[in-house]
Amino acid sequence: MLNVEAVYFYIYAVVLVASALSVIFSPRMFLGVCAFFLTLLFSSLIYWLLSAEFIALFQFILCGLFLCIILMMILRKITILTLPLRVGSLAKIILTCVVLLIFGLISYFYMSVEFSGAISDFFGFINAKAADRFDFTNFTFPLHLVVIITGVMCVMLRNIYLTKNDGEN
Amino acid sequence: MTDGFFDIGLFHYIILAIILFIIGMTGVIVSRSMFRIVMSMFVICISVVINFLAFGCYCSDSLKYANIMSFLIIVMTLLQATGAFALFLKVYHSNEYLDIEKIKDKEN
Repeated sequence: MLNVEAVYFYIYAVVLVASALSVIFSPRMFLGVCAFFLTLLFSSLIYWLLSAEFIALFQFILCGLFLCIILMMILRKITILTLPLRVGSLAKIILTCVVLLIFGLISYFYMSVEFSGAISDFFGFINAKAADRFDFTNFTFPLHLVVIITGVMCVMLRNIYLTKNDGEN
Repeated sequence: MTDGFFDIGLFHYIILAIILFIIGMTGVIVSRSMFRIVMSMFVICISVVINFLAFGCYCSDSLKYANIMSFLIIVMTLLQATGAFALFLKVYHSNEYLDIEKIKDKEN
């Protein structure tokens, strides 16, 4: 028996990933904004699948409709709608993806080790911190290190991978 | 095999969120247009919201927390994006381009 929710999930997920890729690698700015709208639309549908209807409608109306229209108007005003795209070379992009995949795995292990993979534990962590009864000895994985490493890694990757001379407006 | 494929659970949503996060981070790192960087940051925020909602949906008694957190994230991202677009207009009027590297070179 085919699960309808699974079919919906896979359709939405594939279109969402494709449109998110198109946001970055679309050859023209106009297509990038259209892909951005599709990203917002299909992410709203994914939220709907997760029974968060209010968030889905909120994001689609406020971000999907209003923000994309404003973005399109701004781009038309400064006449860069049809500018071509220039990014780094393919090898650099692949290397970046590999580094980020490793970072994602580290983050996943962090969540599973510290919070047992449950969001309720994460909110318990915030509540404990807010109530000032937080004991750092319970948390072996240093959270502040994760935040610092993330920021430093972004800055380093930008400086390493970007070439200086060919630019995109 | 097909049962695992068609039984959608928390794992599927986490994988989707990780893929979106990687795509967004790649966009932030490799893109040189300011507009594209802001759109990539939006993709990262979408991945975070999917993560929150997935945990909220599949873990008991935490959906309302996930909704509140997602609402805050979306509002913050929207505010940041609109503020950034206003700044970009200002930068474009003074520089005639929106390339980060060119602006950095001009400052140096």
